[in-house]
Amino acid sequence: MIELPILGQDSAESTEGPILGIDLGTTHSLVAVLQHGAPRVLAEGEGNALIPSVVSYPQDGPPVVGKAALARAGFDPQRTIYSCKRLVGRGMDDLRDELATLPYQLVEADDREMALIDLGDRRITPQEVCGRVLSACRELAASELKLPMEQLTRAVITVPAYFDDAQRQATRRAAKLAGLDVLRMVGEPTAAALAYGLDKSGSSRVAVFDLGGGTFDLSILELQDGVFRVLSTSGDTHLGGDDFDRAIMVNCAAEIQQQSGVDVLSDPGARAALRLISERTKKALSSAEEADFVYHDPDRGVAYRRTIDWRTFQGWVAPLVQRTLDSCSMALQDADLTPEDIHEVVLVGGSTRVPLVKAAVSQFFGRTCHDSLDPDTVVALGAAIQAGVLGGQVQNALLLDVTPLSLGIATAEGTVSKLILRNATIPAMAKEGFTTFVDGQTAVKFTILQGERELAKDCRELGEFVLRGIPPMPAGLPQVGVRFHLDADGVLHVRAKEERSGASAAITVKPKHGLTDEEVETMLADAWENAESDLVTRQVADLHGQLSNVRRAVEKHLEVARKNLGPQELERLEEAYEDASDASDITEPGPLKGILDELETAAHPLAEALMNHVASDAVRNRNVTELIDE
Amino acid sequence: MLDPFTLLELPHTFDLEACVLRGALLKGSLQWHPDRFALANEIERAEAEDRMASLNRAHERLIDPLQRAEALLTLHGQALGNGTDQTSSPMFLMEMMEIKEEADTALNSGNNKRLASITASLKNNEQQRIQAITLAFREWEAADRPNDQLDGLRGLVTEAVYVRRTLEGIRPVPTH
Repeated sequence: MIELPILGQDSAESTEGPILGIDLGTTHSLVAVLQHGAPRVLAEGEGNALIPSVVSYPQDGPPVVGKAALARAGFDPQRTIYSCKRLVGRGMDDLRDELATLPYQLVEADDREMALIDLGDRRITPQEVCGRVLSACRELAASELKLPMEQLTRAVITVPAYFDDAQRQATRRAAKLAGLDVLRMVGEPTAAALAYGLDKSGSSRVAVFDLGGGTFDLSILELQDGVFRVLSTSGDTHLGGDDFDRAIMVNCAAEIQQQSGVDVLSDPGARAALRLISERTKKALSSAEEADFVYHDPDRGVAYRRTIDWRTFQGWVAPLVQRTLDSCSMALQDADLTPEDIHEVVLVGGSTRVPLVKAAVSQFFGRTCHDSLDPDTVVALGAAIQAGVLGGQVQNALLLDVTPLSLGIATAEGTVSKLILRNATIPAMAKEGFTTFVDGQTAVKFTILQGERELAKDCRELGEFVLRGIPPMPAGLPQVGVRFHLDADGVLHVRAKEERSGASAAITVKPKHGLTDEEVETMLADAWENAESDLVTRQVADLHGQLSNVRRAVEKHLEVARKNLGPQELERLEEAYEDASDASDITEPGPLKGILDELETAAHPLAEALMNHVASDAVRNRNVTELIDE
Repeated sequence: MLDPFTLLELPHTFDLEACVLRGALLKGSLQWHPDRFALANEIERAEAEDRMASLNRAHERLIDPLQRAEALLTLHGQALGNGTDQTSSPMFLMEMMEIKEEADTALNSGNNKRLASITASLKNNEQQRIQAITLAFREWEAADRPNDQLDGLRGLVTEAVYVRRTLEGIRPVPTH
């Protein structure tokens, strides 16, 4: 007799907080919730809602996340991990192009094609890094909603529509590490459409062009009476603002080498600094005709300055923009549509601020694009609405999403037998029959592939599984039925059964590019629970990290301070510096924050004095630490 | 396992417009989409996943006239076997084999233009056959579905499926 769980008596339900809507971004992440029927992005106090998707692992302390981690990028580049979203569910082969410009080290796992981050003393998985970022989102929600962490355990997480199975699985496991149960993974463009289209009625076809920090998606949807049906999707999980930055960085680095003979990219610290300067240059070019790229490295004798006009920039990134337009063509073709059939075009993602991108998309579709909602927050807002749909607060909306890539099994001839085609609405299922090749064969191995190419070797291998326990029979006689189920999150489940004997395989597909559930469990047991349960410890560690940054920066420039500051200013700075030096034993966040604030304020005159020493336009708009750190 | 028509609560007929099929799928989605069961227990969630996937699959089969015809034949005890059967004429089989050989030659010599023209003519062939099937099924239904016409219908569908398989078997010339 099977015991069924008793329904409707789940007392935990009543104490559950809202379902979080999380936009896990390449550059930054956001968390939003539905409140009184409207989605709201959560921010720390009056502050910025964007949590930098950066985690830094100090040699001698717990990991720090977000702004505090970003602040460590300059002096601890090899232990400060950004863009982890580009790494999840990926192998080293997938990442070849960007290895040269990453300040941190990647290595391949021993037993599968999964990139690991090598911190020197230990190796961590990209899932753990993403997990830390998701954890920070959950903590922010807890503090803003004034709810205990235990009540915030459910989330809708957005992923690039073009994420494959390995990347989706990896995201789900990262969430698990952060103590979050993912109720649904939603495509980012789909979420954006939800945020834009909630109040609209009638029928229309919308193209969502989503160019973020590291990924690009183009989805075409049909909206009718609250049903958001994705018709087709296309994209590139390795195309985004990071690549625009890298285009600037690579071109300037080449010029530096020409001028001074120094290969600046060979140094991790220089790579981290050049990346930040490139990003600032790109941002400046969004609103100005030209921007200056300034890089000084006195130790290596580099003093580089170049004015980049938008035409030059355009030349550098034009191939990237063309790739996005190619994806647009493909999605239209798949949906059997032409640009004229699209009623509205929505721009999402920070990189759509680049004027060239905006102009190119407008021209392609022959219409002006919608960008009335903040491209940084619109996806998180959509995630919160979808959380409301799942929670039952939003009744009049339903998302029907598709799978971006075809799924199949490798055949003996090396080709792919496709079972589920790209742009099939999910959840989707397919069945296929297979048989044995050798007399008495009792096991059949299956290799599962994802991709559009004809040959198995050109598709992405998701993993393999073996159906055992087939009774010995002549070759060709057993009938093995394989059932694929692609669930509403776009994650694959496989069942196989030998029809004559009824032997069925308890299948776990061993992921080729990610972690197994057991490995996640072990990680959780090892390190996560303790760190996570103690929010205060983390806060204190964060503050100590920030404090030591500022202290180190001040220390470096004490001579300048003594020469340039007035006696009162100097006295205040020295006092604050001393207090900060004595603060290592403080374990309460309050007093620690006070000391940090005071030191930052006292260091302002020093920053100003330093600014007069350096080319002023290159350092404007930067905070104290960033500035005196260089 | 239910047939695709029953799953979508549609009559067993060939004459189903795309908008009717779409409407039926939408109705099923509003009831069975896993989003509606996000907070339900594991058993109910799994059931919704299965139901919704079956509905999507049923829609996919019925939206394609060839698969719709196959599904109707199956309902009348005339499931299609693999490949051809006795109903296919030797002429037809010869013609298909010739086309296959021609395509292989074009592929091996990298003749993209020839390959494209073979593909286009096969597509045309498939479309014409689908039109013929549509007419034949209409007549059969109008005549109250006489059993003695089933063999002929299966022959038509079998050949059209064969044309499609041939078409799918033609690979483009690799670009590198």
